[in-house]
Amino acid sequence: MSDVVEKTLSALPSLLSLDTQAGAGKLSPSSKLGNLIKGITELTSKHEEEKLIKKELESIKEQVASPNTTMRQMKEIMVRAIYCEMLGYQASFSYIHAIKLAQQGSVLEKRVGYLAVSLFLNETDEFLLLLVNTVLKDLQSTNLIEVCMALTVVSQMFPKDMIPAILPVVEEKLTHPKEIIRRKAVLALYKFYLIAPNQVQHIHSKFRKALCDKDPGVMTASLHIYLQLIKENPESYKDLTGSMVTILRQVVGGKLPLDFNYHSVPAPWLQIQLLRILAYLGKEDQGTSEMMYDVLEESLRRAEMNHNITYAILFECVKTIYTVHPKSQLLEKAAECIGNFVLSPKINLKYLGLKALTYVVQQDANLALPHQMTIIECLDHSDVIIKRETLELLFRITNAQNVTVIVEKMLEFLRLTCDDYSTIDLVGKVAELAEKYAPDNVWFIQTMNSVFSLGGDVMQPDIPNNFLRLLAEGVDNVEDRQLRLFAVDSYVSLLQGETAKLPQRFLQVISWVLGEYSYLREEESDPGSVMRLLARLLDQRHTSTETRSWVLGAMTKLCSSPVSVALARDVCERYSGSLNTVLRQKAQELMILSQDTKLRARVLPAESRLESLEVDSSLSFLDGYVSEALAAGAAPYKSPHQRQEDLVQEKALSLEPYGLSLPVSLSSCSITDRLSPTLLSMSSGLSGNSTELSHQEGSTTLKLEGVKRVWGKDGYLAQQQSACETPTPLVELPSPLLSPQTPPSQTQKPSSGLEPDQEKRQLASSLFVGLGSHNSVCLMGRVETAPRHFRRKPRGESSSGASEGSSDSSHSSRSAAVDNLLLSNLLDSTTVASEGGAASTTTPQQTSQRTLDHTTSNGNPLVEGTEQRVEAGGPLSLIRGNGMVAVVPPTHTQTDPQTQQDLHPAPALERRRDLSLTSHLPAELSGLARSEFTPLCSDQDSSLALSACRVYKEDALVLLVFISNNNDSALHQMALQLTCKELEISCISGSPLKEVKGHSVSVCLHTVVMKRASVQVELAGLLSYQRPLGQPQAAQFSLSLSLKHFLRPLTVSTGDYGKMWLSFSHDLKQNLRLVTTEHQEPLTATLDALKGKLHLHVVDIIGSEGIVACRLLQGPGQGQPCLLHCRVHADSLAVWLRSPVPELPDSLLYHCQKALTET
Amino acid sequence: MRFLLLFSRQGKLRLQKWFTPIPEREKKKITRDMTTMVLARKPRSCNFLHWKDLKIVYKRYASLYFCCGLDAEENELLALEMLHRYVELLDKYFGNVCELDIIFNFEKAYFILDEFLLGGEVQETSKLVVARSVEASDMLQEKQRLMEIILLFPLFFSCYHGGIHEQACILTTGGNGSTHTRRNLNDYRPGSLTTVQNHGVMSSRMMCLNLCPEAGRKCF
Repeated sequence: MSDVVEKTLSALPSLLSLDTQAGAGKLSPSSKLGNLIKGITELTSKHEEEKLIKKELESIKEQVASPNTTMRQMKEIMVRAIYCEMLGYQASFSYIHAIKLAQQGSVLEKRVGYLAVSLFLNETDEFLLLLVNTVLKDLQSTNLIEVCMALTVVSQMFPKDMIPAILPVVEEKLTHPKEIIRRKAVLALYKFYLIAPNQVQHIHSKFRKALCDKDPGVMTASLHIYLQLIKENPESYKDLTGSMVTILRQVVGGKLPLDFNYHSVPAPWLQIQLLRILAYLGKEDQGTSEMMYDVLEESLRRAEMNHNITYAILFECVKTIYTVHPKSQLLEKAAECIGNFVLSPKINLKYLGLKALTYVVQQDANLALPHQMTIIECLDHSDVIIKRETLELLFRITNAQNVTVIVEKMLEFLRLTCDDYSTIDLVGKVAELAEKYAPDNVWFIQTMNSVFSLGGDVMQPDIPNNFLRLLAEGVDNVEDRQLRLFAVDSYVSLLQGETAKLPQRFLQVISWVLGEYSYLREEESDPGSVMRLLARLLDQRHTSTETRSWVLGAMTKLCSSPVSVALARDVCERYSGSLNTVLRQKAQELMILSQDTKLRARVLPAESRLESLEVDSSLSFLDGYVSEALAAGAAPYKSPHQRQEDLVQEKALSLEPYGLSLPVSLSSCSITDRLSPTLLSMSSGLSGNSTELSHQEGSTTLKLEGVKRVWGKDGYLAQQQSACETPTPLVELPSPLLSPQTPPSQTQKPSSGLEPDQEKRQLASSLFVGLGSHNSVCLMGRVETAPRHFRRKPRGESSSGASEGSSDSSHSSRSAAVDNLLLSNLLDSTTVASEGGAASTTTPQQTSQRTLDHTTSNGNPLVEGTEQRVEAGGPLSLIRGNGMVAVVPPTHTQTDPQTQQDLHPAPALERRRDLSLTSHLPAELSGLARSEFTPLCSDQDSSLALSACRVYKEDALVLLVFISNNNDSALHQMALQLTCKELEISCISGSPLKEVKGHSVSVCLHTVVMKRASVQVELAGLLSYQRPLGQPQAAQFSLSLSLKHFLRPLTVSTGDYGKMWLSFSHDLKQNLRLVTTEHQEPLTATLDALKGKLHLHVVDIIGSEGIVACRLLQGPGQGQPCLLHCRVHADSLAVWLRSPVPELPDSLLYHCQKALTET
Repeated sequence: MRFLLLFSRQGKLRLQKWFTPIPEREKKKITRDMTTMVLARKPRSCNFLHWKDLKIVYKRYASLYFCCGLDAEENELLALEMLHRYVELLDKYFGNVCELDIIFNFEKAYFILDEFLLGGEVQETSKLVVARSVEASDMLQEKQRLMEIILLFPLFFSCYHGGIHEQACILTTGGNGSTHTRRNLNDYRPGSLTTVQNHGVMSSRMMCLNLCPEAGRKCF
């Protein structure tokens, strides 16, 4: 018999090919999937399909639930479930069965199971945790196919947190004898790298090994990782350039096995991968670039076959050549190559040609010149995608002379497109061009009008913001007046027409501008006209509430004449009853201000609106209110960012509802004040101890901070010349047919004198004017020669100087408690904190250009509000470079009062030391509960002092050792060793500590967890160091840590508690003393005492019984639970402890006893 | 690559593969957008599109659209060729593949894809190697089936082995114990009747199972 089997098996391959041909065998009517599919195709309506699928899902549900279903049937069922899901119907009940199938099925069933899992579940799905074990088992299987499947599913989707569990096994597979396994393992690691780069950091050397693998497939796979690594940090991989070049040369030379050919091109995927890597390596690096010139040239030369794949390689090659340090000879060849693309009749190649051109004109705009006619043709191409790409190209070659034509083309496209995404993108580009190159006021306003009406409500909000700022910022000279007046005029005429179609954003812009600048035109028209137009806008149904509040804001500014006041009264009456609170508020304001002229003049002065406003961004005027509130027991303010962080930290155990976030409607109510809307960005940047309420109040006093725009698209913007500079007269448009300035290439075009051709030529001449080195306006000088009166005007130093002054003054008024000597240091530390991005300081996520300015000027008042003291005056920067000292960001120090409460009445000296050390707590730990500082040791002359502090983190105990150097001389060659055999200690402070400067403090962070539960452990430490000109010295110390430091509450439900209780084997019973207090039940009081002292979690108290749970920290993500069952028995507390580990109940009981006797 | 979608001219999804974690709702939206965008394209227009910040590359093969989403820096032409290679692989596996093959055997199409792409990156470009690794797993299935037959008909099998050409093999068994066999695998056509000449004890007219109704088979 056995030989029969063998013979038959030998026939298998052919049988296989048969099966593949008969693959459609599932069509046979007996197959259930076949039936289903047929059933669906016969249906005519969606409704019927729904009914059928519902029925099908019902039957699937029934079958999966039945215990008689075999795995084989399950596989078939799963396929049907996948089909139903693909049609868009939920089959969530089958997810768990898919996992089961992957777990329990034979190889084939497993494969379907894994497939179903990968299709059904998302990376974040909790079900995936159930899969980890299966994957682990399969990874270790001896069956290659199983290993392959596991690796496939692992690189498909894997929960980030579970990577450590399987990482060693996957890593092991890198040395597997089978190349397919090695390859999949490399790709799996690549995937891990993408989702959690830190976790694979230690295997970088193995990646190198994979790169040198004898199998080209494995090498190719490893390049994915390298591409990513090099992209992120090209500097550290420069040494690989040689190898990459060699590999590419071999590939191009056809040295790889034929297996790797694709349509007789050697390994195109590999080639392109290598070219991309080379581009990253050679970018802005002449030396490295020189190494690759030869091979790039060879690649260009070899890829000559007329096939898509060779064009793909060529395209990548061109991109690389233009990315690396330029070599003229290569550039020429690449440009020629681009020509082939652009001129190709194949539309895909044309598209890529345009793309390549877009890329290269950024370096040399002249490259577009030879292709002018093609570009013009593409501009009118029937395919929108080509059109869009052409506009992209034109955007890159825009200058002051062709801007009108190009913008016109762009707007034309915008009018036709209906795709939101490209609208947003293109509108932004038009706005940018208009702002940069606008030839005159009229054109600018008209263009922006089209931008607003076309961009509608989808465009980026900073377009209207920038526009309004531009209008507002100018000095009051004739030109700016003209611009504003023209804007007002055009808006008035717009509002007189049909307004129903105008987008809300545009209406908001209009109402702001009219509110601000209508007075400019008032002499020539009757005063109430604008007011009437605005009122009409209010009446229209399509006007949104937000717009209405803008309009009301504008009216508030306008109601000066009696006609307007009467109108305003009308409006007020209507809106003071509005359901919307913002509108009601606005109406009230309007009412009051329209009646009280004096008040109005004071609140909304007509002239000089921007200069005089002052902002106290620290909202110091609210300090009294805040301290009152704090005294009354209010929680200290936390910035939204900080709140989020806290939430994240508490995530696992937090039972609290989410904190309040800033009310959104605020933005709409503060926005219409007499300020440019751009200020909004500032008002959101408040922090410090202001409450949310203060936000509202403060918004009326915000001031426009002068922000200089130093860097523009073209690089450094030179200081604005005098603002009254007259617009540079347009360079006379050279007619290409007559002018000698015509680029020579243009004449190479077929010059049949047809009229359309003529038209195109004219278009070309207007589009490409300003390009070409021989042109009157040369490319390089373009930045300087462009008329620039529309560029955002830099605010003078005066305003920033003023803010400096104001912050200084507020400082002196409030800093009675702060030593002036420390000021420089504090300032220093603020900048340090903000540079390090440790936490939100004053401005959380504003444009970085602005932040630096703000933080330095606004930051100090905040610092002063704290009790922070930096012990020594030495510069911090050096230690910071070592990554050792983290300065507490000012916002965090609000925790101080709390921690101080924990302190026992301590001598003043100690208190000061604690305070000084507090400032050295790393930012990420400062919000957490921590112990007081324990002095460890100090040497005789107390020049060196060590202190320790425990921070109770959720998943570990962090032990901080503070090394304070009180001497003038620095400490060198520092090394801190902590040893204890019962503990697992790991250093987390990054690079090892080397030196501590004189008069400074540095911190070492260690996470500590217990290996085995024990009542108390002794930690031995040794610090070795050397003073300059001294012998190596050492300081020994010891620190005892008790079990309670490693206990954390375990939040479980009563139900889970019950289950766990039954599953734990080690138990212990004991009677304990009951704590009695006046106003509490003895049981509650006792449990509260335990909870407070030992970080336990009281799960439930029912009558005279209470259940309590806790866990002992043990490595990341692990912990040993311990459950306590307490019952009041006579006048003692009977405690029953259970845990899966024998030592834990013992030691915990000891601490319980101790804790209760102490109270 | 971010995702790969296969859908029919009617916009029915035939296969979907997501290489980066995307919430379910977003997936639905992408699928909807892709079908409307791609189906609206005129023939002979460019194969590349934009969707948000993604590049979309699509290609139509007979009644089926293959559509994938790429990151900004990826090469469109290469993606196009990758789609083509996938079609070639399907073609090799199914033999003149058609939409129905993929509808009815979509799990096979997924397996092939898994051998070709891993985590959105091309892992194996060789047609042969991919085919081999897909078959290696399929092989197990056949082994299982064959073992069952052997156990059912030990007697027949021994004669069969003695008499018939080595290439012949058993396809499946009928209800009444008659065995359908087929001789030359290369000239197999679904629905055809093949008489197998036997030299040994067994000599009967044997039938090939009709595995695929000719009507349903549309070829590219």
